[in-house]
Amino acid sequence: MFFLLISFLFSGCERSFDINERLIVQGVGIDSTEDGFEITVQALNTDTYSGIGGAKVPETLVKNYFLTGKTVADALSKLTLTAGSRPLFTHTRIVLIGFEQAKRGLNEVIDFFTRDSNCHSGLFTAVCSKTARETLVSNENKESVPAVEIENAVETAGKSAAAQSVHIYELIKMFREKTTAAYLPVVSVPSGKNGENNVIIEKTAVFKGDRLFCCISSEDTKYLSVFTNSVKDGSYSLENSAFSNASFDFYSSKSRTDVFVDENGVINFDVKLRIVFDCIEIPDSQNGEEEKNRLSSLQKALEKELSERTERFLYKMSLQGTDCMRLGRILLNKKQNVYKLCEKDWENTLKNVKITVVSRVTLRRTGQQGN
Amino acid sequence: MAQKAKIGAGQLFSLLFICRMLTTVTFSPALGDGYLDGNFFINILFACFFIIFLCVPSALFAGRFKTEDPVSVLEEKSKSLSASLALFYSFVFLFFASVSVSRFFIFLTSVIFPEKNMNILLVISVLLCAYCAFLGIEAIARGNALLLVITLTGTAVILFFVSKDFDIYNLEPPFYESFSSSLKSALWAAGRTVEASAFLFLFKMTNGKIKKGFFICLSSFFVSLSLLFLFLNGVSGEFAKTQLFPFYSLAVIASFPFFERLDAVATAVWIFSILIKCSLFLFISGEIISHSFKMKRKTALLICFAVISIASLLFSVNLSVHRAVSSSLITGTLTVLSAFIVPSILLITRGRRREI
Repeated sequence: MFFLLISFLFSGCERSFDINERLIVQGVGIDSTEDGFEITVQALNTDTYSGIGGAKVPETLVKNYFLTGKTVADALSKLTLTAGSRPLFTHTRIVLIGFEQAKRGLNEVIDFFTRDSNCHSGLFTAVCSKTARETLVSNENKESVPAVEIENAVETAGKSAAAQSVHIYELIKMFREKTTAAYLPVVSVPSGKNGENNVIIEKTAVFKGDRLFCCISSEDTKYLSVFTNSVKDGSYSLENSAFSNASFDFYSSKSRTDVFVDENGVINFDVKLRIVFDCIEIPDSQNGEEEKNRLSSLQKALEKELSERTERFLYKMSLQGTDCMRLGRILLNKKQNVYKLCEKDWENTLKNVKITVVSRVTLRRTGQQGN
Repeated sequence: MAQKAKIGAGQLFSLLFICRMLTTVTFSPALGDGYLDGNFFINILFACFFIIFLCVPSALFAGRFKTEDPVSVLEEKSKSLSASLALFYSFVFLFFASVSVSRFFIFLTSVIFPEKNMNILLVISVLLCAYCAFLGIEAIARGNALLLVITLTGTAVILFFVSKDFDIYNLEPPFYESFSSSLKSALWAAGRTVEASAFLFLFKMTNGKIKKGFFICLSSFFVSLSLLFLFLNGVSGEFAKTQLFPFYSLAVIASFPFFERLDAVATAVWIFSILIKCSLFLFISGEIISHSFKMKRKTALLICFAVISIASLLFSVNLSVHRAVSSSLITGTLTVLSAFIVPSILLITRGRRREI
C-alpha cells in the first residue's frame, strides 16, 4: 500500500531532471585569490551534436568551469548560471587544493564537502604542486586532465608505500586530533614530450594545524607508510653498494610501538617493524652456495637500512614538531597519564622524545629464480 | 485490558530490540544526544547497569501482575487515577514516537531530500504505521520478523565493510574522560530506553519464556551497542563527532571492491526500524486510550496518528526545537517515571500477587 501511494503521489517524478540536464561534477579544484577563492570545476561533457549520421560522441570527455567567490559555496552557487545545468556533486571523485591555498589553510575550504548533502565524505583529497587550475587544465597544452585519472593515480599510489591516499573524512579526523599533523598527497601533472599529461604523486604534504608546513619525498613517505601500517603494496630499493641496489616488493608490513618514560622523564618510543619482502631484482645474482649467503646478507642489510632510515625519518618529523606519525595517539593509548601532561604542549614535547627502531625482515620469495 | 492476540516471547523482545537499536543508530550528538566515545567500554558497562536497574520494576511487575498493565491495575483502585495514568502513558509513547519520527524527518530533509517538502511523506508514513497498529500486535510482530533480519544483516554488512579501516589508535583508552562524563553518557543511554515502559503493556500479550527472552534481549542489545560504538570510534575517530548522524556517515564511508557508499543500506535500516517503532508505539497508545476512555480502536488510533503527525512536524521545525524536546532531561525524566517510578509505586501499593 505504501509503495502504491508513493508511486501515485510523490515518487519523484515532479520536477525531475534528466541526466543530461545535470552537470555531473567529477573534480573540484580550489585556489586562493586576493579576496576569496577561484574554483575550477571539472564535469562530464554531455554535449552531443547531431551530424549527418546522428548524435555523436562529445569531442572531449570533460569540461572545465572557472568560478570565483568569497567562499567555496558562494563560488559553486554560480555554477548553474555558468554551465546552464544544475550541478550534481554525488559523483565528485577528488578535491584538489592549490599549493598556495594549502599554505593559507584548509579549514575554510573543506567544510562544504562534508556538509553538503550531495557530497560524500569518502572522496579523495590532494594538494597540487602548482595551482589546482593548472593541474586540472594543463598549462602547456591547454588540455583537461580528467579527474578520474587523477583519482586513479591517487588511489593506486596510496596502495603503494611511496604515497598516501587520503579521504576527506580522514583529513578531518587528523585535523581534529589534538596532536596529529595531517598529511595529503601532492599531485603534479608535468607534460610529456608528446604533449600527453602524466599524473605523478611524488611527495606528501604535511600540515601544521590546517596549514601546509612542508613536503616530504616519496622515500620518506615509505617510512611513514611502514610506521603507520598503511603499506598494501609497493617496492623498496636497497641503497647499498655491496648489493647493487637490489629491489624488493612489500608483501606485508606491521609495526608495533611500545612507550615508556625513562628515569630522566624522557618519553621513549620503541618501534618494532616486521616486514616481509619478495625479491624482485637482485643485480649480479649468481647461482651457488655464495648466493644463499647473499640472501642472508641482503636481509641483514635491509634490516639495518630500514631501522636507520625509519628512525631518521621519525626524528626528522619530531624535531619539526609535526606528528604525522601519530606518536601522540600512541602515547594516549599506552600512557594516558603522561599524555594528559604533555597534550597541550605536544609540539615541544615531541622534539625531546627518544625513538628507537628495530626492524625484522623476512625475504619470503625470490621470484622465478631459485635464489 | 483483554487482548485476544498473543505473540511469542521471541517476537516481543525482537520488537523491543529493534526499537532500542533505532535509538542507537540514529543518535546525534549535534541534536543533544550523549556520545559514547573514548571511554565507551566503560560507558557501556555503566549504561548496562543503569538499564538493568531501570528494567527491574518492569520485570517484577510482569512477574506479579501476569495479565494486567499499570493502567488496569490502578483502575481497580480509582478510575480517575487510572485515566490520568492512561493519559500519561499515552503521552509518553506518543512523545517518543514523535521524537523518533521527527528525527527521521530531519534526516530526510537534511541528507536525502534537502530541497523538497516532505511533509506529505511524513504524514503518509505515520498513517501507514497507524494502519499497521490497527492490524494488531501479531501483524507488527510478523512484519518485524522479516525486518529484523534485514536490519541486522544491513548493519552487519556496513560494519563488515568498514572493518578494513579500523585503527586501534582512533580509540581512546578507558578512564580517559572523567567519571562524571562516563556517568552522564551512561545515564543518557539508559534514559532513552523507553522500551522498558513498553514492556509493561506488552508482556501480557505474550506467550512463552519471558524471563529467558528478557535476558537474551538485554545481552543482544549490549553486544550490539558495544560493536556499533567500537566500529564507529575505531573507523571514524574524531570525524564522527562532526557529523549530524554519525552512523549514517559511517555507512557513507563503507566500501568494498565492488560496493561503495552503503548509505542506502543505512537509510533502509532506518526506514524499516522507524516503521516498526512507530507502529508499536501507536498500537500501545491506541490500546491504552481505547480501553481507558471506552473508545473504538480506530478512533483512538486516528487520534494518535494526528498527534504524532503534528508533533513530528513541530519537533522538526528546526534543530534547536528538536534538541530541546529530545534533551536528556525530558526523555530521561519520562523514561524513569514511566518505567521505574510508576511500576515501583504500583508494586508497593498494590501489595500481594493478583491472579485471574
